[in-house]
This record gives sequence, C-alpha cells and structure tokens, in this order.
Amino acid sequence: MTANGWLQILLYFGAVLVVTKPMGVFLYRVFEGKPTFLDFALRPVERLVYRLCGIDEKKEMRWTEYGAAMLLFSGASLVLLYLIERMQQWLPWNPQKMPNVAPDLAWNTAVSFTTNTNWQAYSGESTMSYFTQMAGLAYHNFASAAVGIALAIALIRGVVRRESKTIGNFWVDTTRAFLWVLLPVSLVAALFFVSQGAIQNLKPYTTANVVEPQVVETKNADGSVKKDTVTRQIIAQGPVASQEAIKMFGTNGGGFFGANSTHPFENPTPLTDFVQMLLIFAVPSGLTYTLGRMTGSQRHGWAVWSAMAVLFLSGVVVVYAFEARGNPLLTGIETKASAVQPGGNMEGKEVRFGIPNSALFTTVTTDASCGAVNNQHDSLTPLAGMIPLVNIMLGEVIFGGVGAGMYGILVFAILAVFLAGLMVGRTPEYLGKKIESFDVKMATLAILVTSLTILIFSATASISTWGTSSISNAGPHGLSQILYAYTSAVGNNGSAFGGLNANTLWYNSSLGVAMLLGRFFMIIPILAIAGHLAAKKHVPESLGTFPVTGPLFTVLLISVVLIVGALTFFPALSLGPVLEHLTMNAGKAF
Amino acid sequence: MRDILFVLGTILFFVLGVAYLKGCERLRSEK
Repeated sequence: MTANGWLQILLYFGAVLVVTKPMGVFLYRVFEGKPTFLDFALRPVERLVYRLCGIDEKKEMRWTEYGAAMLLFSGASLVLLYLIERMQQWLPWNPQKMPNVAPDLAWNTAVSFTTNTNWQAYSGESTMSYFTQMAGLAYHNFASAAVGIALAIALIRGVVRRESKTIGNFWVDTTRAFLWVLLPVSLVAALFFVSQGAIQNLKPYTTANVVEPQVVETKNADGSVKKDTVTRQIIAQGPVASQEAIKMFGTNGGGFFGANSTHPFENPTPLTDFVQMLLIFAVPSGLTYTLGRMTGSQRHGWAVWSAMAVLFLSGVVVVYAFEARGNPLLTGIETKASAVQPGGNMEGKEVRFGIPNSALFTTVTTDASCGAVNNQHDSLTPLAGMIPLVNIMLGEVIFGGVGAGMYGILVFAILAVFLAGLMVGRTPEYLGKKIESFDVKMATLAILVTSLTILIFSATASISTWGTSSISNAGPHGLSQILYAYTSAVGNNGSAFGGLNANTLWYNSSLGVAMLLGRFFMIIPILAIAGHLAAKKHVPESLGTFPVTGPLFTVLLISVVLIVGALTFFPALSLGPVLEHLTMNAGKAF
Repeated sequence: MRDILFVLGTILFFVLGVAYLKGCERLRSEK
C-alpha cells in the first residue's frame, strides 16, 4: 500500500461527499415537483410524453397500482428487447452483419438489462449489433435505472405521507427520472468521455496489420499442436461513449465490449476511471440527502449516509490490503511497490489503473448494483475477492444501485428500529410511523427471497454436472465462481468471476430466473411497506422513541446489515473464499 | 420453439408477480 494510493481513495471519498448534497437537493426538487433550472427545456417534452401515452400526471396511485404498472412496464420492455435481439440481423445499424442472438442468451440478456443487472454471458463486440446496443441495451440502462429511482422515491413518500392511500404516480416518477436526472447527466458525461478518447461512431470494424506478427499455438482434439501466425487485428468500433455514461450513472454496468471498463475505448484514462466511479455513487449517495430532505430529518439522512460510508471504507481497506500484499506463493518475486512496478497482485489488472484504483473500483461497483469492472474479479486474492461477493450479499445497500440502494437500506432501517423496539419493550417507530407486524413480515420477505434464491441455485449448480461443467478452477475457487454468479444475478449486480462459462442453457435460464426473482420479488414487498406506512397516522416523537438521527442508529444499522448477511452467507463463504485463503497460506492455490 | 417458451415463461412470471402483489395486499388486509 502506498500513500499515493490512499490519497486517491480519500480524494474519491471526498468527491462523493461533495456531490451528495447538490444531487440530493436536485432529486428532491425533481420528485416533489419544485422548479428546477431544466424545466424550461424539459417540461414541454414531459407534457408531450404524457399526451402521447395518455397519462394523467395528476392521478395518484395506490401501492398495488404502482407495483402493477412497474410490472407491466418491465415485462413489456423485456419482451421488446428479446425480440430486438432475436431479429437483429434484419434490423439496421449492423455493419458487422451479426447474426440473431441465440434464444437462451437473448432471454438472459433481456432479463439482465430489464432488471438493471447487466450480467453479460457474451462479448458485446462479437454478439450485438449497434442497433441492439443502442435501442435495446442502452435504452434499458435508462429505463431500469429510472424505475429504481421511482421506487425509492415511492418508498420515501410512504414514510412521509400521513393517512394517505397513495404513494405517487409510477409513470410520472419514471418519466421525470428519465428526463431530469438520467438524460442530462449522461449527455454531459458522454461528451466528457469522448473528450478523453472514448469512441462514438457507427463505423464497421477496422482491420489493422500488426507491427509484429505473433505465432499462436492451439491444441487439437487429438493432442497435436496447431500453429497459426496472426498478422492482422480487428479493432471493434461503435457508439461506446454514450452507452458508457448511462452504464455508470444508472449503475447498470453492462459494457459495450466484453472487457468492460478495462478496455481503453470504454475507459481511456485515469481521469475517466475516477469520473466513472463518481457517477456510480452520485445518485445513491444523493438519495440519502433526498431522504433527509423529504422526511424533514436531515440528520437521519446523514446517519444513513454514515452507515454506508463506514461499510464502504471498510471494504476498500480490505481489498486494497490483500491486493497490495499479493500472492504469498509467488516467493522470490518482488511484490513491493517501487518506482518501476506497482507491486502486489497485478494479475487481471490494468497497469493504467494499478492496485489502488482497481481495489477502489471493485468495491464501488459491488457496493452499488453496477457490476462494471476495470479489473478481473476472478484474479483477486481470495479474501479481496470475497469483499465484492459480500458487498452484493449484504443487499448492495452500501450506497447501492440507483434507487435500489435506498429502498434496500430502508428495509434494514425498519428491521433495526424493530430490533431496538424489542430490546426496550416498546412498539417500534420509524420517523413517526409505528412499525407493525406486517411491515416486519414484508421486510423479512424481501430479504428471504433474495437469500434463498442465491443459496438454492448455487447449491443446485454445485452438485450438478450442468453447473460444475462451466467452472474453470477446482476446489473452493470453483465454488466461489458459482456462488458469485448467482449472488451477482440475484443482487442485480452483473459483475462476474469471469472464469465461469455462463453461456450455457442452464446458466442462461437459471441466472435469468434468479435475476427476475431478485429484482421483482424483492420490490413488491417493499412497495407493500410503502403503501402500509403511507396509510398510517403520524405518531409524535416521545422520550421512548428510538432516535434515528445519531451515531447509535448508525451503529445499529451497520450491525443489522452485517449480522443478517453473516448469518445467511457465512457457511457458503467459509467453503469458498475463506477456505481458499487458508489453503493458499498453507501452500496450495487454485 | 424456444422463442415461444421464453416469451410465455416471461409472461407467466409477470402474471405470478401480480399474484404475489395481490397476496401481499391480502396479507395486509388480514393483519
């Protein structure tokens, strides 16, 4: 570890802190219908959208209507994306003449982008046409992020409103998230990425003669070795920068290229790397301020932010420490940082970013439900690799995905005040609302659905040939690959331990189901909580009310997040990364 | 054939989603 590395991490943390308030205030103004500096341009567009779609923007929805509208919108757009992929060879903007995507991969990808997961069992540059990338995948990057923000705002409204049957209008919230939040920032970010060297074109791929021909050896089935001399290289092109902006800002994570943010066309400079990470946390961090502003308790917003910040920094420290330490089995190799080499474990890392920025990116992308990568998580040392896994297992509530992080942490906040109430023998309250058995049942259901889906699918894949035939490493690392895949799918993260060959009928189908359950079967109980809380009377604060504004609440919230995660997943983790770490220290690596 | 299975499976999932939503609502009114 170096002082320079820590400085970069602290600089990033400071930048997140700086954007929190302005972003939070802006989100508050957008969703509370207050004037913003973009109204003059966007209000006419918004009205036009409502007129074309027949939406009454004044109409409020009950939680069931809100949920049904969300399901209808998501289901219809999922089928549309599936059809685009299945028909791409007959659609425009396909200069490489990509064939139609295979049914199971097309379905997996359609589910993946609809659920904001962006799990990719393919490489974009060899599978998807420009039309599919733009009209299919990039559109969903906006849509799924807008839905996430809308749901978070609906839940906060549920906390705020008193004796109300409604929690807002799904179509209005989603449209405003699209127009006011996602589009303007993505436009500016895309132009910035282009200025740094990210590409943005619709050209056919370029074929270049390599400076130094390379001889590549491949083994035939009979064991003989075939030698090929490579003299030409195909350089993929495409509308990359525009997709990159929303990929990060919408915490989607699906790369234009298979190499994701390690590719110099997607992430050309250390500055773009920094901005990409900042874009991931901008909305999730801002939403904590919005929570405080909407509920009238800014200190509560900061208490939630503090819990997230502590968990975030803890994760970075662990990943950075283990990656800087390197692999102890590589004895005799200089692993200390020096003027000529970055030190530590450089396998799977970009030399442009080095260990600190790889450790930071890994933590940020899995704290949020982003899943973009600037290094290969499969190459992390065992305990460093466990951190992204744990981040997702905890529900991605450490700032989290756009909207998803906020509604996820509020579920834990409800559990925290419930536990505090049990300890002192009083009816728990959360910001003036009594927490009753229905709220706790729904919060528990939201947590159980995701945990059970991860563990059941991982266990099934681990004991079946269709599951184990795709892993590339034996022993505990193989289990980690499977566990990571289902955790990432259910958590709607999308990053992977890339050694797993996930483009099989089993993985495409089972991961698709896991993503759907992880997204929608978690959201519905949360909307139920929103509807239930909105209908309640406000209870004035008394001496017996557990305060949700100070360090005590922050510590309790962190404890609940960690305890729930640890109790659920520790056995699986101990058989995967923990065991791998112990065997590595004993002299055996996988 | 697989196309039909995946599209029908998707529709079935979202119909189940609505049933799940109704189930949560019923639980709420029975509390």
